[in-house]
Amino acid sequence: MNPTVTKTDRLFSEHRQGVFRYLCRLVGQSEPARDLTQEVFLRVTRAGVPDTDAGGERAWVFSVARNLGLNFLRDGARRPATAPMVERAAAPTQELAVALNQALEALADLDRDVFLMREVGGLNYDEIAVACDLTPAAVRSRLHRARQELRATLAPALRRTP
Amino acid sequence: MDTHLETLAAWVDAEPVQHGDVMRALETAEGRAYVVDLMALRRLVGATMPQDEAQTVVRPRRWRVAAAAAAAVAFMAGGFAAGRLVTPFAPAPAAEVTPVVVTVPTSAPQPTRVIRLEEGVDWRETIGGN
Repeated sequence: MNPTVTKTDRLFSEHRQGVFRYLCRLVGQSEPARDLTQEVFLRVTRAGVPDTDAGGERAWVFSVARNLGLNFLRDGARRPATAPMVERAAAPTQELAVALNQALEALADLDRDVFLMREVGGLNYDEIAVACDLTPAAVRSRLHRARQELRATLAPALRRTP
Repeated sequence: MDTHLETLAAWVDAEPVQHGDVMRALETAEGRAYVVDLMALRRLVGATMPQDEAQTVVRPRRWRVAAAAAAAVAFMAGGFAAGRLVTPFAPAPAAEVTPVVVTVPTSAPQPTRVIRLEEGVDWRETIGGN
């Protein structure tokens, strides 16, 4: 049995959803996010999984996802789009989705990455630090700043959250 | 105050924090409001989350299978209806049923005529062929 294939399969099954959701939020559209998710795990397979613990593996997978997502945005010179994401939301949450996406767009790029990795990807502070090449203290600070900005922007929406 | 709020954020995120720091931060109204808003923000992100990849992949396939089945049924129904319109439907006459009696003979029939052949009359014996 090829151990690299087994590791890759495990990483795919464990992190596919998280990576897809993170990329959906990062690039703002589900179709490119699906393609990028495939690309992430293709690269993971080609590159080989580094010899590290589960947290290190997750951080590494998300760093690959982040780089691909940022490249996608840079190449297309696009900011996260609002409309495609809203189409998939249920009717009662469409307004909230628009407000959230606009608030996310207003964040600094790195603050948004840190926030999305925590809230969408489910990474802990150490994993985010590895994925974003930051210190855990910087992650904590940026995460707090992102939340404070979102809190200020979304105050009315937060009171109406279902 | 930001340090208190960062502590509460770390606590909400299940990061290691000092129990006393959390208690002190929660004693303030701002700290409690911050925790409530963090949870609401988390729920907001979850409520507006895109569909799972697996669902988005499977759903079109199910839809396509159902559409293909419906199209096949509609096609067959249309063909049947068109056939009915072009060729007036008349029920086929009922076929007369004639009973067939099969008799199975139990022994060979008796000969009605016997033919006897005599040597020198009906055939001749020769030697050497011809």
